[in-house]
Amino acid sequence: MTHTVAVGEFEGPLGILLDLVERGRLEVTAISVAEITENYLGRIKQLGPSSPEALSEFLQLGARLLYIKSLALLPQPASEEQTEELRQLNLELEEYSRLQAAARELARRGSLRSWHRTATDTLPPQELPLPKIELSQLAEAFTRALKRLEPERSVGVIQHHVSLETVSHRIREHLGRGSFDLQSLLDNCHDRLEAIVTFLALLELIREGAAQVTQANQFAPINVEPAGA
Amino acid sequence: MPELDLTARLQAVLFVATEPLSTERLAEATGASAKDTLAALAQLEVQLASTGLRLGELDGKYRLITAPEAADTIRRFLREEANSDLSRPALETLAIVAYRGPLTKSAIEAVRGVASDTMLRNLLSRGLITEVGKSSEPGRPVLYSISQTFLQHFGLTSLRDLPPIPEVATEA
Repeated sequence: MTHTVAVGEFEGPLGILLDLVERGRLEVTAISVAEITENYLGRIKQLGPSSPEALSEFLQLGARLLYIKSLALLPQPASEEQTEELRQLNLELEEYSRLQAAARELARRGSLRSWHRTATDTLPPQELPLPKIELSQLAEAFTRALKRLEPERSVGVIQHHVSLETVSHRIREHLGRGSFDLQSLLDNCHDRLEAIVTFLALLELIREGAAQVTQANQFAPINVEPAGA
Repeated sequence: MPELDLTARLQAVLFVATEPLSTERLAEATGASAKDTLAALAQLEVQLASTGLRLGELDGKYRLITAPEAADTIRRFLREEANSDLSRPALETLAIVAYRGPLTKSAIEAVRGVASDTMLRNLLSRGLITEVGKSSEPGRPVLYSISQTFLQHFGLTSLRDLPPIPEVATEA
């Protein structure tokens, strides 16, 4: 990719123009515009084959130079326009050159640097108090979890559908009889989908204010009860 | 224990802070007025001059940073290489944003003469520039400005520290 190397050398069309102007120790004036235009177009040719997008950036300035050059060939009134175009181009070139110098200044500061403190947390992480758990309880919980992993009981082609309304109605019935354990509700679900729907239905009921949940302490069974109970 | 003055207490707050703090946050933490806080911050800046720390400031937000003169020492400590990884086009774009910002993508492209989408995205992702708002121009294009990361990358404590643009001799 010879093109990228060439473009790397010159950051863009203005970079080439600036280089030409500085090398020739001349300004972009009415007298020099012809020469500069020719040199510029020569440089673009050297860039060789490249993507149209990349080349278009360089061609735009080339076209602009040609336009300014062409104004000189026209009768008088055009010279004013040429002066204005040249003034504008020189202004842009000056600004570009100034910021190039600033960029070099920044590059010189490359070895300098300041760091800030990167500590993310000055407070010790709060430890969760471990609940008192017997080994037997742990084993029990593990067995329960294993049970849930057991293959589905019903294997059939008819998909089991549960609607939010049905489940919601079922929970309301449960609530009518008083409070109950959330786990028992989920254990009665046939599959994961039903468990999800049940959970959603419960959340909905809590939102409506028809049910509330309590938990005595961490990891204790979650109790579902009629609101206001 | 003797009472610490406001300057010392501000220094303490800035030491534990993990992000740049506004004058309001600092005043709130120390219980001082905004005016006193600003005066004490100016004093802190003077006091720090003889230490290995500096008071970094951008957009009215302050943070303690290491002195740029300590860069080599800290690099050795962190086992980091000198950062000469910014390309010339990247430096050029940064210079434009630093000296002429906040400004829009099209304003940056007008100076550079080339499309700058990729370059801006690259600098944004490295945190060297940030989006600071929208221009009132039609289409409300995004305005870009340099970031705290930029300042620290070049060992600058604030925008006032930017070296003046070298004057160009050419006359139009």
